[in-house]
Amino acid sequence: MHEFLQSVLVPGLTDGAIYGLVAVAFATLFSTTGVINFAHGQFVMVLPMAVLVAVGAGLPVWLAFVVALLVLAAIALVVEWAAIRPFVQSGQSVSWLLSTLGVSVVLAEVLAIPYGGESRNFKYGVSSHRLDMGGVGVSPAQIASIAALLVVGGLLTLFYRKTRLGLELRAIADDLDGAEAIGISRARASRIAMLLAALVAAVTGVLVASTQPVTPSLGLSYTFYGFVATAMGGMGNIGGAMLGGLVVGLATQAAGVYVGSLVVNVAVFVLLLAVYLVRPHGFFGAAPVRDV
Amino acid sequence: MTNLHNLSGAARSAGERLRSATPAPLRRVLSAPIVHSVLIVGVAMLLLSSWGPQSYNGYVLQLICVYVVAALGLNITTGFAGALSLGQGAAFAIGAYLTAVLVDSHGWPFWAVLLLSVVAGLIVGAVTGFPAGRLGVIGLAMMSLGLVLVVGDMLVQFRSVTGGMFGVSGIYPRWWFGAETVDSLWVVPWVIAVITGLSYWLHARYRTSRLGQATVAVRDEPIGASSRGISGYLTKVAAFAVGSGLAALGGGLFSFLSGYISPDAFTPNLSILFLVMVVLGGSGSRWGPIVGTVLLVVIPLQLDDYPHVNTIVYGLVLIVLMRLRPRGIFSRSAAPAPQGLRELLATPPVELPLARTVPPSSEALLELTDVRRSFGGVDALGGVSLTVAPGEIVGLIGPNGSGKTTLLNVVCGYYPPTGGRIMLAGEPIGGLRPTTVAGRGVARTFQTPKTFVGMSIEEHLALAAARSDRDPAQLQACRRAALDLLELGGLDPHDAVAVTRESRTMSHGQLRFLEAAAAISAAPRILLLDEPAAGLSATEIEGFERVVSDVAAAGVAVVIVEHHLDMISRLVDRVVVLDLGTVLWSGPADQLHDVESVRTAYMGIV
Repeated sequence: MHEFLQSVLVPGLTDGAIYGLVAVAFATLFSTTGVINFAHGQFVMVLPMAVLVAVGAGLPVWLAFVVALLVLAAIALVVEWAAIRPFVQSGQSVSWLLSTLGVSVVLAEVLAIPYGGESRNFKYGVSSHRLDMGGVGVSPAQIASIAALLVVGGLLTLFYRKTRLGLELRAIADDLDGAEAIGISRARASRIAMLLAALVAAVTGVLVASTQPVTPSLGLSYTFYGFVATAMGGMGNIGGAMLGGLVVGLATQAAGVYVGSLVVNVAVFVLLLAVYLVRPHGFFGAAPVRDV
Repeated sequence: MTNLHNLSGAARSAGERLRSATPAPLRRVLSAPIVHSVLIVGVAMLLLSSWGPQSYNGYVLQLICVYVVAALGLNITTGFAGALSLGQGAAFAIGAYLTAVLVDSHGWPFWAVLLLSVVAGLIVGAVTGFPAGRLGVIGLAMMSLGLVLVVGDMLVQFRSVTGGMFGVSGIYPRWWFGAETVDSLWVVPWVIAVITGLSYWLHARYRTSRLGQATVAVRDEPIGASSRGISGYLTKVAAFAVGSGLAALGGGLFSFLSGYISPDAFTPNLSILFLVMVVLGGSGSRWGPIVGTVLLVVIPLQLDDYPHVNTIVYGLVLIVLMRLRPRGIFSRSAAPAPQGLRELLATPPVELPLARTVPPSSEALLELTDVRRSFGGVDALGGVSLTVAPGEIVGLIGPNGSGKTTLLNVVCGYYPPTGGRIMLAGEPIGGLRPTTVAGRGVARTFQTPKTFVGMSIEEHLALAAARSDRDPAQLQACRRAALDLLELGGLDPHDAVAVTRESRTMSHGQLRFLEAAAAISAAPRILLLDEPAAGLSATEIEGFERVVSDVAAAGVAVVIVEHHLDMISRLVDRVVVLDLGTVLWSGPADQLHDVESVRTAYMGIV
């Protein structure tokens, strides 16, 4: 039991919180723009990588974080303009899938330039030193991951329910032409959704870097795990994405511990297959009522 | 007549002008896939013999050929079937490893391993495509991405077979099981060149086959395809299977070309590379994958001195391409399909009305009894009863939201009825799938024409012309009616070049005529027309009416949903007025204006 707590449940939930954050970012962008950003995994890696480079260049740590955040925001805006806005709520999934995939290829390669793609330790995050909590070792970084998932998910839900801006983003999602007709700008909505997703990516990036070395090539796996979590919850559903992330985290951790690290992807793949066979629209998503 | 839309002279593109300037027999030879295949093998072998099979250029050329095989396969999956596969590299890796292991450890001859690779690829593809019935584009893309990650892990996991990170070496061709490896340096180049040619031929033939046409139709307009009796699921699974089969074949060739393979060669980026090759060249086109592959092998090699740049280039290509030219360099997706039109044009005129095969007094062809359909709590149809006899034209009118289109959708099988009975020629069809209903002889058109953007006029007709177990005279009459409709729409069926035009370039009105012509040319038992006159000019409507009455005179039952009351009163035998999902009134068209309830509900005049 203790073994299960220590090596499956705790790390599973914390990994799951990371995947949940990725999934929440997918849901945020998808619900407004109808686009899934395939480069989001790379976005997660941008902030820690930029901090490392900036500190390496001699900037103080706090300034490095500011610079890194600005870099991330700038990249997000360029990507939004180039690869997302043309396809907002267009229904042409092939187009945005390919354009954001292109972004992911470019970003992954750019991220590999500074340290030749090698992993680097990140000392500026939350401590990953384990504390003893009732016999189970838990690090502040792990606690922070789960807290971050709850806070980010909660804030976004409030934002969409309570603020005018959040309502406008949902209006664009529901009926693009109708929303534009009453003066809601599609470009602005897509830009804001992208910035929100990038902000979530920044939080995710710090948490990822706190628990493991910064590895630029990990981006694609995060995209895949995060997508599976989103698909489980139902596309564009924030609560579902959070829950899906935790399930994916537990599944990967259990597979890694009980079978071996090389079957982790298999476990996620099987999970995806299972979701699609049982509930193709996710556990919180709804199938369209009419399609003709 | 109405030649406003006619494609003559200046309206033609440069490509069309070139095609119409070529004499017909030459055109036929030049467009034959087998001719292209021979050309591909010839050019490849000529270049190789001048460079030498072991030269650097020779290697690059063979690598291009190997990638072309996989890219052509992906073009079937992604180009023809529209199912985005991020997993072409998975099948490629499986083929490569199967070949490497069987050749190195078990001494298999090259032809046997390549054959087995194809089979393995077919199976992998069929399994990947298996959930296609329930998944959209995104779901399938993710499934295939997952497959690449899984296969990559497995290559390392089963290291006793695959050699783990060290890979497999010693992959040389043999003629027979356990025989000595062959000395000649020319065997591998010949095998690669010939298989590339064959793959091209197969890929082109796949597209022009009945299955290929159905595949493209489902890609462009799944609902329109189901109304022609084409079921989408099989086309997707087949496209995944054949696409993966070719990828695995390419992988096997890759093993022979390299002589040594390791997991490094099969990263997820390889799958993305294949995808970019197809999309850049023009997915769904014949030559696109080849051109895309050549460009994406040659250009990065030129940039080899600048690390990172070659990878960044292909990412940027994707982004820019999607913004500026999303359909790629070669954007034509229509393929030749002369057979359907040839049959149509060979049909002699007929004397109408036909001596009915069924006596006019015969019972109803279509009979609805108390048909209901609700969406959530809304009763879109609250118990509709109605009959249509062969050769009868029934007009269905009513205000917006009265359930006219829902009625057609329930009859066609798009929504199963929540209650009531639907009989077609004495057999129940309520709740059957749209493809099955279409197969029983129910044809329809839609409010917005559901034609196939990437298919030509002749392909639309070839697609419709499959079923012909109908009475020959009726078939003949329907074919003549279809020809009349095409001419009315300014789509001259005699113009050999104009009929190869893709429907994406046509106007809304032309699409209406094309859709109706395709629906009628299959000689349905009953024709359902959903607002056929919307957006047509007065002369076009007049011509349309004439064709519809011809079709009815040939014994086809017609139901026409229309707001154009003049047309209704001229054309139909009987009017049925729907309001709030029930039949409000039914009777001859000339009495329609005298019924007060109809005036209140529909015309808003009291």
